[in-house]
Amino acid sequence: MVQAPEAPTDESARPAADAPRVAAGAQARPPTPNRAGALLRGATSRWAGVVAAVALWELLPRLGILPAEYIPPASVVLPTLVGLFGDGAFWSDVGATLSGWAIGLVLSTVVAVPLGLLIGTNTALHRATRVIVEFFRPIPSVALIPLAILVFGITLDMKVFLIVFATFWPILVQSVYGVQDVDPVARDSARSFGLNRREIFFHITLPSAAPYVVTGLRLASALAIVLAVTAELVAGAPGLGRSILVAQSAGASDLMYALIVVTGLVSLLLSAALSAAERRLLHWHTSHRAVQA
Amino acid sequence: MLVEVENLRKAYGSGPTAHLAIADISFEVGVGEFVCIVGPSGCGKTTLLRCLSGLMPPTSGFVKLHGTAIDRPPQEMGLVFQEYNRSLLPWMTVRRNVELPLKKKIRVAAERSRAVDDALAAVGLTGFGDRYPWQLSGGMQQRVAIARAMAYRPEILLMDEPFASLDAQTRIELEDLVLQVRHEFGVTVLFVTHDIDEAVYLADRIVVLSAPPCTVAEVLDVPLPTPRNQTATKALPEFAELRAHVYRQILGDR
Repeated sequence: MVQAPEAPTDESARPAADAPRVAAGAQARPPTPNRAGALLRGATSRWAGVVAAVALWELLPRLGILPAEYIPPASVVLPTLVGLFGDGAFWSDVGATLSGWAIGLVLSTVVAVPLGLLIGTNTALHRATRVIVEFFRPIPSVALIPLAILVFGITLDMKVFLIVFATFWPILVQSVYGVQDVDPVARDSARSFGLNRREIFFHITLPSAAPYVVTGLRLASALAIVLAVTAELVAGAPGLGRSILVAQSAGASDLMYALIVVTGLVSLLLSAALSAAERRLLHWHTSHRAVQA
Repeated sequence: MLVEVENLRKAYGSGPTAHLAIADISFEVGVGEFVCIVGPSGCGKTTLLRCLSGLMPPTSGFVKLHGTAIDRPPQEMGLVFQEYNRSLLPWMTVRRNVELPLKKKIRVAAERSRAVDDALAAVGLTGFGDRYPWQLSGGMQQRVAIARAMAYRPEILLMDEPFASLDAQTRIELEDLVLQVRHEFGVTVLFVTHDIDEAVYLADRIVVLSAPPCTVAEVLDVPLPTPRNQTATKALPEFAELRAHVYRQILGDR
């Protein structure tokens, strides 16, 4: 998750420089029977993996290979999970966790993106802020939990503070990278056609930086959900994390596992939603262009 | 004179580590002329083009347009770069790419739209407006770049090795397209290339540059008959003579 400032090794952090171009007329071809078959096989094997995992979850505790008192089998946990969906308290937990995620992420974004774009376009500012960013960025947000409790108490603000601190840096750093990666030829073209600084910013710089910023947001979103649950678990702010702790201390291990599964599902849904939004927004980018054989 | 280049000099850096890219270049371009600039590899052609287009200030000397020294990209020039895939914006359709520079020049949307249609028609891309550049072949993308430059209605079309990254057949098609566009729009063309055949085939006049630090080795008239034709023109003995002459200038006797 933590990237070096100069050369991020994580493939996802930097959009691919170039990819094979799609020749004219290659799109909008209906899937051939072969392709449809391949898709179906893909889906089948994906779900086969899930079914196998659930089957193991059921069998291992039942056969006594795993201790059933700590790890209740799937047939015990899954009904509890389904039962949660009719429970109002559960939904207010989900709401509390998600509102921490959303408020934190929005606050981070509205501050870090403009700041990153500014730092990225200003060499002096970039130099001046570099050490500060490199100092704060590696500090684990959880290390600030005592401080956050001291300042904000056990409140939503405390959770939001931790999430903002954790997500601010990846968004900032990605925005700085993005704005620095504007293609000089694209900028020269725009300048040669008399576009002014404002027009170049909106038509060239911003769209060029967008893939980086979106990558930052995707990293930040995953961090935000981790931080929300952690803050609830450790500090006891209302939400899924606190309910997991409560279930555990009440000895309701089926409920504890059901809630753990829910946190996984919530992360999965958020990440899928972000990916879908990204594909729509950045459909032109090399990593999203529909390549058909 | 439309363009006058006077004692243009460009050095990168300063002091003992300074790199002199262009020592001293002077030449002139008249209205309606097709002038090719050729030179040996690494002779500072791109530096020259950046100075000519006003994207970069020269260290000393002038580029004058209608007698006035330029200090920024002038409205009268339309640029076509070698790297079409970087010069066109991938997040905009072909139509929006061509339209973007026109926003301030043509205020009325309907007129602007017609200018885009005309330019796309002139390069043979009618009906491709709603595609994205990356959905087109390299040759078609460079046509879009030419359409964008021509829709801007420049007095001078400035081209920086525009066909260097295209295959030979596409290059031939686009050479003739440029001649045709020049004829249709009556535009002056300043064409930087490293391809000697291309320069002799296209130009009315050739500015031959020396090895770096770059100076003008020779300015050469190309009295070949017009309209040029890929087979007939290239079969002329005069074509072979001019070509051999420029080769000797650039590569020496080999």
